[in-house]
Amino acid sequence: VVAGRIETISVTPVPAFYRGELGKSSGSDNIGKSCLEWLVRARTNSGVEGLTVANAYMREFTDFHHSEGTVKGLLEVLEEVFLGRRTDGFLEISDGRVVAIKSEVARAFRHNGWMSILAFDLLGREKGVSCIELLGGRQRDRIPAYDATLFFQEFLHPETGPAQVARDASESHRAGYRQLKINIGRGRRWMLPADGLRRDVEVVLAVREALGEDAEIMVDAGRGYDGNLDLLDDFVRETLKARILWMEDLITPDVTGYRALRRIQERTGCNAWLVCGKDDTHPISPIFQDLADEGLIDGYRPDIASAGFATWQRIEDGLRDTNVRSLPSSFANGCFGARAGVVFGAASRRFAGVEDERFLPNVYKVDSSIFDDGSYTLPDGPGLGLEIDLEKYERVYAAHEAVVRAGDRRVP
Amino acid sequence: MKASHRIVEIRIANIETDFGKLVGRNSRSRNYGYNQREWLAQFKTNSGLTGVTNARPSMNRGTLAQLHGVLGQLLGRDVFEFYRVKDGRVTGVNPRWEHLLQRNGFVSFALFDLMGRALDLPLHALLGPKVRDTADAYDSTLYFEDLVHPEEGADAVAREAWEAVEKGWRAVKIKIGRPGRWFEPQMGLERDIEIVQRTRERCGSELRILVDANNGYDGKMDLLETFVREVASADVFWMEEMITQDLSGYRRLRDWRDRYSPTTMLVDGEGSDGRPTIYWSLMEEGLLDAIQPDMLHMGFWPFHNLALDIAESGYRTKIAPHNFNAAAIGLRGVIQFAAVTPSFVIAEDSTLKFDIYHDPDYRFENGAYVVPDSPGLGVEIDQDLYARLYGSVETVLKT
Repeated sequence: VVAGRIETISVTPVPAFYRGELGKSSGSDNIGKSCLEWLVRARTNSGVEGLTVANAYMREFTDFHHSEGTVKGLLEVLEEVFLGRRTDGFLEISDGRVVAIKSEVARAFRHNGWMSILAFDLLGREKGVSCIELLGGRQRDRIPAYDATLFFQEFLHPETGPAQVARDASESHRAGYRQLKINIGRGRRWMLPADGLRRDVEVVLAVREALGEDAEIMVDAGRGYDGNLDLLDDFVRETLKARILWMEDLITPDVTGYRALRRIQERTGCNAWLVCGKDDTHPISPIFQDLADEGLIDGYRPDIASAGFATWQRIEDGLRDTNVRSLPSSFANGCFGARAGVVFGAASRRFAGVEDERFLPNVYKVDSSIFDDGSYTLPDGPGLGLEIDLEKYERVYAAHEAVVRAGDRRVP
Repeated sequence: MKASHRIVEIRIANIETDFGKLVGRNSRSRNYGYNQREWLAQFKTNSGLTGVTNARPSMNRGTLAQLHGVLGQLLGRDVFEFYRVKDGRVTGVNPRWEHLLQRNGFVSFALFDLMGRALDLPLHALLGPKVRDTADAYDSTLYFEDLVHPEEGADAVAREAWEAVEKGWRAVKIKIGRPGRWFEPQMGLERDIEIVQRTRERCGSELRILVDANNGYDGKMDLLETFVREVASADVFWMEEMITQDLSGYRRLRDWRDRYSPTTMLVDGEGSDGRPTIYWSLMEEGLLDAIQPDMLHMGFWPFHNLALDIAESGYRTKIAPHNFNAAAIGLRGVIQFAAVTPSFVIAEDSTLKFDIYHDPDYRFENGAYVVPDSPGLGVEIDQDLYARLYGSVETVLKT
């Protein structure tokens, strides 16, 4: 069977809405109520359609004199890399598993990891197999997911105060989440360091009390304890009884600093995982490799939709001789981000959980991958198993679609 | 003996509110958002006065600890120590404080507020004689709403413009510049034009329509000419930041404006204090009809002097202060500034209401705010509500 050739690619901004306003993190002002999914649809002359999101590319904007981060630039790179190519022209396969990126597109995929997800989806759909198979085959039947929407919500609800985070955590638990990540690090920017520590501790303990024993709690400091290891020592000590599963980005990645974190853990008897790496744009960067090799981290987190499947395969190869878990982050990638995490997690032995921003449904059809009691079932369709709701797409989103066709750039 | 008004306490809190709608993105940045906030700083004196400002310019770039570092320097100081004041008028700035006030213009809001209250004068009287009783204002919350409500397309903006009219605004500013980033350039141009035209159709001929591209036509001068030509029939009041300030680009833009839409103003300068040479070159050549430094960032005294310098230069450039960042307090400052500034054009209004601010003298009537003559800035804090909502989260600096 001759593989189809990509004839048309479209780019469409699709709004994705959180369940409510998300507040500040340690370094950023309010996350807000929504983001855009930059939906990329590539269609072949054989009738196959593959999907990805180009959110990582659209975040690369510098100014109007450069094409990065613009729709114009996005169409150009998609045209250059994908248009006119066959669906089997991107990925090397061995025994039904993708083992490498083909050299012609290797550079483009390294820089734009999200492109590899499109290549996997196209190939899987063309062959009628799931991306899970292409990634190496199913390792588990359900994929644990954690709620990642617990920011500094008390700033939004001053009348409730710190109890607001516990209140939101309880709602999340009722919605089925058994793992919840709480943002901490208030002293980095929005509060005085000592005040921020006290609030962080108060919030973590309140969430544990609200959830009882039937939930895992993780924390993400967004490097909020940089320069304040003494306060961090207090935080670790005072939250021991909350039995935190992992502690993320407590400080800026650095071997000396992470050795100090390990010493704090030894002193306090804290066995939470130390995880970091979500902002590693060229994984595995030397600093993270050093941290992994020295046993100073327990989880590594490059963004699933930014790094893409092929890079994550390479990451797992690089972590082979370590005990570091795969914990892809997914920030502001819309509904697509969770699906990408589920698919990758299904095939990964060292995967530990999908970051779930709990976006409301938008452009995709409801399918067999359902969240319930803390985890997602697996999609059963070919590729990513993700289908566009075409009626809704035409009615709501199509007017903003920009299209390039092989040999004939067309703009509606 | 002159009474003492020493600053003995500064209370700071993140005050939250919302637009009541999701405000979308502009040509370069992500959604502005649903919620908005001010960092209310209340300066209290030993004489029982309270002056207020919004410290958000500092918090946008720094930390609460850094803000404490700045404001802590003011503790124990008399409110008349920072400026030279003669016969109820500010005549200069104390060099001891010039650098701090230049870098933290928002501090001047609280200091002028306190001086006005101490002298029982409205804030505007500290700057000069009153030249107007009202200040026109425009609703500046019309962003790329078509990307928030894609099913409505251009009508999403036109609808929100109409809602602004129904609430009393007689001028609205529409964000454009879609060719720059978020749209394929030709599609973006067509949408920009469609939105301006739909807004005019829906809201009628009386509404003043302002547009702001946030430089989204940079490198796309062919599209910019088309835009200027195609919206000529909509009688746009001003075009703001169509391109990055540049003499050759502005000469071309001015030519198109003169040819297609001669009454439209060209305005720019929100990211500056108006002092860089490029702005004076633009003014010298008659390429800049109004300049827009940010009121909260710049502060009263430098802004007042910029207006005086422009007037004395003989250039015809007017003043239209930028004021966003949830600046309810900033807007009150702009209105005070407008009261004494003959070349003032119109105030940027983010339309936000904060429950804890009480300022009934700033009546909004027929698209304009009445300039109050109450002492200081004329904004009171509902201290009971403040204590209930923010008492547990505020930070306090004390002598």
